[in-house]
Amino acid sequence: MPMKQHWLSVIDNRALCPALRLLSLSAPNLTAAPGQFLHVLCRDPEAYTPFLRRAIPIHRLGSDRIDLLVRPDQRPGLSWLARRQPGDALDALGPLGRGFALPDAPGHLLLLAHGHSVAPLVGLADRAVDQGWAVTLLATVARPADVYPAALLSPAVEYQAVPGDNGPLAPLSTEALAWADLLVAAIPSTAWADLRQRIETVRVILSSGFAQVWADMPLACGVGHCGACALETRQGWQRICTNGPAFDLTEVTGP
Amino acid sequence: MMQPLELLPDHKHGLLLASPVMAAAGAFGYVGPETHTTLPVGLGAVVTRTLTRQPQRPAPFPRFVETPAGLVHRLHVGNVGFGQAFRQCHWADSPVPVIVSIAGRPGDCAAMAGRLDDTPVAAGLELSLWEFPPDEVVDVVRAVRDTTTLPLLVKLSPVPPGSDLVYVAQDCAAAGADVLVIGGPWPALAPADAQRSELLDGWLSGPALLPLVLPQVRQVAQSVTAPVIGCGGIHRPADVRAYLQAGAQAVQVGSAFLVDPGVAARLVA
Repeated sequence: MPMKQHWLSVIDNRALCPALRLLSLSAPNLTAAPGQFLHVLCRDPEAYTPFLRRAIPIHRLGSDRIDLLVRPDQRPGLSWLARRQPGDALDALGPLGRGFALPDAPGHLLLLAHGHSVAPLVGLADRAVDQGWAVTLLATVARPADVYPAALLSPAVEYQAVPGDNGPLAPLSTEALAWADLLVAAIPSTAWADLRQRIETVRVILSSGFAQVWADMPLACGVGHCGACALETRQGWQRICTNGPAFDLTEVTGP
Repeated sequence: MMQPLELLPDHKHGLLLASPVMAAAGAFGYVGPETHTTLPVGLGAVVTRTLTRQPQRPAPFPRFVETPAGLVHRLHVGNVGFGQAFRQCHWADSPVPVIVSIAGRPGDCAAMAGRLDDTPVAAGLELSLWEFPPDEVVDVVRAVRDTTTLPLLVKLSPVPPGSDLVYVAQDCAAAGADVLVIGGPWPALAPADAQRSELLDGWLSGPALLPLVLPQVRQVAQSVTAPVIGCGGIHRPADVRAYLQAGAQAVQVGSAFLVDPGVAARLVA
């Protein structure tokens, strides 16, 4: 197999809430960073549908395991993934992509998630707490039953989940934006412009290094060859799969 | 193990393939230095992403939608332009022969071909002219042939707009094409999202394509003396054999690399 292609064994699969499952994979030889992803074949190898792999953000990292957060109804193939049982093996590429940039000097980290997109942020929260950051996670979810369990977060993380559909920026208060030294948002790309505007309203300017976004777009090859995920940035066209999925908000100009 | 193949034994430069299995245009991007060390062993040749004389912007999102056994995608993934790719990719250093894919009007294609002819970095040139009407395709082939002695591959849509594939293939061969590549995506239209509120006008790729392209390859292979390469839906060794049985001398593999970077080893085994 080429480098970075692995068969990873499922060691646990449990429901977190009606909409989410937590899949734990044995990964003793992998190193990864928060914000990276695995590109997982979510079908039997002999089948051809769904055709492409699924980019699954790395939810949590252990010394010998990787956890994935799966919402079975999000895209075709994820219900197949959610049915994998301990002992099953997954064909996965990765870890791939460039993760979040967390400065060494700790400060106040504000995390903003929309729905299941809390997935790539929890590992970042873990790392930030370890480094001495004060961390607040604000999340919007469609239904109260779909709230990510607070018990799975570090007790040091201040967590607020907002049920309802008032948009991904609904929980983002002026106070929270003023408090933050770093904002990391996993929200739809359609909300990036509003986020930029909200930040500029509160902080006057959006400085490079203050806000990062996690680009959650469907990927094709996942390794930088096909160009299907090219995103317009101030540095020119960048590939989400290799130059991201984490981008500084000042850099992205599209989609 | 598949054997090496000289596709053009009578050509000035020849086109020696380590195996009849090639990587289709764009399967490994521009085939730049970062790709050279990861190219699968056993590939006969690798075709670059299609380049135009000027940079091209990618199509807007959504750029593809999955369909049963494949995907429908917009044609334009964008490219950095021929000049930048030529300067940065160091194709001569690739362990696998590189064929440069280009597209454009006759003058643009001739200019790009001339630059490749002056600096021998590529094993060949592929014209990717799906969108052009057949008479313009022939004009481009003629213009490029007048400019370069490199092996000239011409990739034709299996369903050229407004014309019979066999006639177009014969005209291209007469105009100087050394090799005809038949296949690549098939014109398609699919719902762009789960809500079915928009249709994506594009091209079908993937395993679903194989039974559509195979008869087109056979038809052309029976009608021209130039070597024919088949391209479309190849994912398994049996697919390669099917194209060879239909009269192709080699195949190009594209969408399989989207899901399985290791597929080449199985196909050439």
